[in-house]
Amino acid sequence: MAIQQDFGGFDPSFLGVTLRFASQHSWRIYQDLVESPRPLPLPSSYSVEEMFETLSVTSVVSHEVRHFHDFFLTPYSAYVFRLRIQLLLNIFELLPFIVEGDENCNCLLVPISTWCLLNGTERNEQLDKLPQRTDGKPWVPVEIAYLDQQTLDFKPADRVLLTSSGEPLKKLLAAAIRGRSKIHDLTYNPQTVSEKASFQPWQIFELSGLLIQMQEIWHSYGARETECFTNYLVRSRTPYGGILRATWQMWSSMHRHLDPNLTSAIVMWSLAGSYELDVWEACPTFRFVKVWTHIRKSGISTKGGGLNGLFKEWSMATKLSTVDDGLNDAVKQFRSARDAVEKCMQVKDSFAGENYCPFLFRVLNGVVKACEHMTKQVRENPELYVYPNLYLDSVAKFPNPVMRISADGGYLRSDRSGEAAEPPGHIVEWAIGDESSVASMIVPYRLSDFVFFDAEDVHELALMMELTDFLFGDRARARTNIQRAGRAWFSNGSLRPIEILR
Amino acid sequence: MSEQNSQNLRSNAKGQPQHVRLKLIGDDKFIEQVRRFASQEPDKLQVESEGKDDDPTRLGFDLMSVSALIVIVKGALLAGDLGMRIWRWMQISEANKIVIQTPFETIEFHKAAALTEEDVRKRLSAVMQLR
Repeated sequence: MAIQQDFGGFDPSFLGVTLRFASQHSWRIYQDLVESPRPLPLPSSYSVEEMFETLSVTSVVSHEVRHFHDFFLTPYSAYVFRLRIQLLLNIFELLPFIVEGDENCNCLLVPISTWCLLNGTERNEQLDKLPQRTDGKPWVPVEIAYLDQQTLDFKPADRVLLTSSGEPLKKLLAAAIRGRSKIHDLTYNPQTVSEKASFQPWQIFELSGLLIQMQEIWHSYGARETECFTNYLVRSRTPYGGILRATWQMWSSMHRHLDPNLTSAIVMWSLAGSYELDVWEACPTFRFVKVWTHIRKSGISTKGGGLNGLFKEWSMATKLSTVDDGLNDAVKQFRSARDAVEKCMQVKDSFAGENYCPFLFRVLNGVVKACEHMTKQVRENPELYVYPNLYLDSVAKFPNPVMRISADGGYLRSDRSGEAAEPPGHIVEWAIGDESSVASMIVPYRLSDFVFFDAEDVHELALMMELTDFLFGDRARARTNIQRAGRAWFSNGSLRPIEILR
Repeated sequence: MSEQNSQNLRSNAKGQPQHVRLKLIGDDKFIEQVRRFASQEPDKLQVESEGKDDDPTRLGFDLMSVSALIVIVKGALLAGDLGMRIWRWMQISEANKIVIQTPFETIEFHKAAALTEEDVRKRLSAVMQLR
């Protein structure tokens, strides 16, 4: 039987920790872990795969919590998040015009970002290829303007406010498409892609999580189990295996074993590039390659000065921004996202402003506070955050995440019903049309007393973000949560979302 | 098979036999199986277009190379064993999952979920219907 190799997956749409389970089996392991006062046993009869699976489930929370904390410290995350909020506002401004149009329309072609770039002939081709409706009626799509290159190139000075359809609608659509494109530019670096491998910012975030996860296994079990977990990953062809293997090889080339503290320091420095100062050279992959090149040439400095000294030396050697610059940029960008929402709240006749901005402002205020708290902690004592063993010991000093359990690629069966299925503190999303299957579930979780987010708010923001992904996202559409959010939203009306196949 | 699905198999308004377009995304082994079946049974499955993904890890795949096929599933296969075929092709696949896009929904089947033929058939049948 194939085993699940990845139980997490941080997405800033959900301001917390998400654990993903693809089968009842893996979910059961997690439930056993939660109920057990000790680490789960690893019988000698276990195969390597079973060992890996149990060790992964045991340690995945620490890995995901690290992503949650890294998010508040890195300008990369702050820029992506700010763009996502801007995109959300634009799309929610558009929504009434999209769904409250002609009553004769019975379908909306998604993603809209693809549909509005198709001309009349291409649209008819798509409609002609749809299966016949069972009621015999033709497919009548919601009318959405075709965007030519000129409209796409239009750059508004500020947000476009919709008071009527027509040209402003086209400009808002174009702004939404450009917003997605900007996110893509940040998250995908074409300069670090070869025929056989692709090295992207998310892999550096994963390395950060993996170092913590390995430390967690060390804490809970010991050296043999950590070696088992690490060797399995290094041998696997997963993307996690790839980044760990590359790191292993880099240390080997210097005739050294992988040093978790120094690797974590390199990761931290790489993630903390200031886009304000370095523009594209703030990309984590660019910085990672640069600092390794420097270390291979000059070695690790033994001059003293602690981590801050190392960070400064690396910035001087690579002529790139310092970690302190990066922390400043992160705070600035998160504040800027919050301020933009506050500004939107004051705009007269803005649908998004009136209906969603007060809520968004509350959540973004929490984001800013969490970021300020994190940067203060890291400035005071960077070792405590960077060194995996110290981080695990002092994790209660950092913000508390909301925790979500999610079914990956399907649904998890629930043996409870009624109120028992949704006890206090839980927020359960059921499968559409099947109230014995769970799509996702927020569960109570207390790691620290620094609580900046309300679970209901985090849940609500995730649903809004997932809806925008459903309507405009052209990738990762298969995620259960994205499909569910979109289909739930359309389930009460006569309009049906239809996927464009290209 | 549900009543609605059997209705889907009727001829459309222009008298053409009913068919459904699907986009299948998977690793090279999975895609090769689909391609081979289409060449052997063109009356059941036809490949309309092919493409490669530039960075499949962004789609949640655990391999560096995945391809996508847009296929036309014809009535005979729809009525019969599409679910079984997909389940079998998935067993040969080396990736963690496959993604299937239908006009009405996009879904993924994870290998770790240890789905049965029946699970795949039911889920596929459900997402090929307008709900």
